[in-house]
Amino acid sequence: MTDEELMEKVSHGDLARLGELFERHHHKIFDYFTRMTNDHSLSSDLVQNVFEKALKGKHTYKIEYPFIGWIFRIAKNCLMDHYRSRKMKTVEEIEPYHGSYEISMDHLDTSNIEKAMSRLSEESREVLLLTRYEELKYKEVAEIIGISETGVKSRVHRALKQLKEVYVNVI
Amino acid sequence: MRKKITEAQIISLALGELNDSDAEVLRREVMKDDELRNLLQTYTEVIKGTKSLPEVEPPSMVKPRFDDWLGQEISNQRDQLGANKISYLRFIKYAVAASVFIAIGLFIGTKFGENAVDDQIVVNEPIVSNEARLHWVDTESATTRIKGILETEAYIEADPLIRDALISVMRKDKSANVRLAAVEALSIYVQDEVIKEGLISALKVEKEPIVQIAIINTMVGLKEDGAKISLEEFIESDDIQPFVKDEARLGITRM
Repeated sequence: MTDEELMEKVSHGDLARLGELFERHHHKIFDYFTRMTNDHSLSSDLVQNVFEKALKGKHTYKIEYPFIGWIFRIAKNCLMDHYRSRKMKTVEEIEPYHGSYEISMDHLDTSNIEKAMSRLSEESREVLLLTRYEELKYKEVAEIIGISETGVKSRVHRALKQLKEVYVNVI
Repeated sequence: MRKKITEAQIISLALGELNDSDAEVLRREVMKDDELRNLLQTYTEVIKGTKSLPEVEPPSMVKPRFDDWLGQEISNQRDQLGANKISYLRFIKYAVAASVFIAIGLFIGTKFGENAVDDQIVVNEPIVSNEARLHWVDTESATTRIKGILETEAYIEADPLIRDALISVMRKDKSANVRLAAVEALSIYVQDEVIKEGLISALKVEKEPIVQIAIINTMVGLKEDGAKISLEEFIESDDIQPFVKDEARLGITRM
């Protein structure tokens, strides 16, 4: 059964199907949160929030909409809610990386690309994380972030340029 | 003069955003220049690196936490359905009780009326045919059909035609509420073999969880091997809601 068919069953009351969707996708969502926040414990809580919100909003789901885009939009909203509740800066307000702040690498792998990505602005890191999943096309990423498809393409280019700079000059 | 190749074009090429012919032309030009070739190689490496980052593994407690929560949600859903059923059954029971009181009142009234003074005119109760009693079966209104079930319930035991009509309503009525009322009415006479068979066959075709649960609870009351086997087969069906299967399993343990 496809993700969309499973979620349609959930929206009609077959709640157990949400378990199958969790099995398929919670790793990706956890990965997204961890790479955005660098906090395993927070990311675990946020994953749980995502699926609770998915169940609560099950009546809003339409089978024509790709499930992965829908669940990641909920994930993005959970992350924004977390930032707001903690009175942290939003993704748009984070300053791009200019210099030499230290990032804790305790929780992440130490490949060079990962090091370089951790030094990008949140906006750039987010768009690269989302577009690396094959199921998420520019169109879905645009809806998740809340910008146009052209905007996503432009952000990806900008993020890759930043990443290349950090990767080549710093790492 | 050769057009200058921009970094944006290199990125588009590395990302695979160009069509085949444009990509081929651009790649040929890039390969002619060492600096551009190195830039393309760097971007290709960086993009490959971002796509092949391993997923960070969630801690082992993430799944059990989700499973506990989902189990609770499913249990809450079942309780809510049960509460809705109880409210509806309470309505049916009050309606039945009211009908019984009215019937008793009418009976007493006619009985004492029969012993009255001779010069009173005795009105015989009109003889109503079974067809007339079952006039409600094909009406549009579900409320009318439910009222019809309540009115004919008293004749189930005495009249096979009415019994069979109610079994048919239980299996085929388009309204789940009407089918539920039929189950409730028939459950009073569940020791009747035909009604038992009717319940078992209704369970095989019923799709509405609240009606399924009513049939299950009626069958549980039978405490018979035949009913138990039917419930066990029911649990094996694919398209039954998990909380309904749980109700059946619980019922089997009580049998």
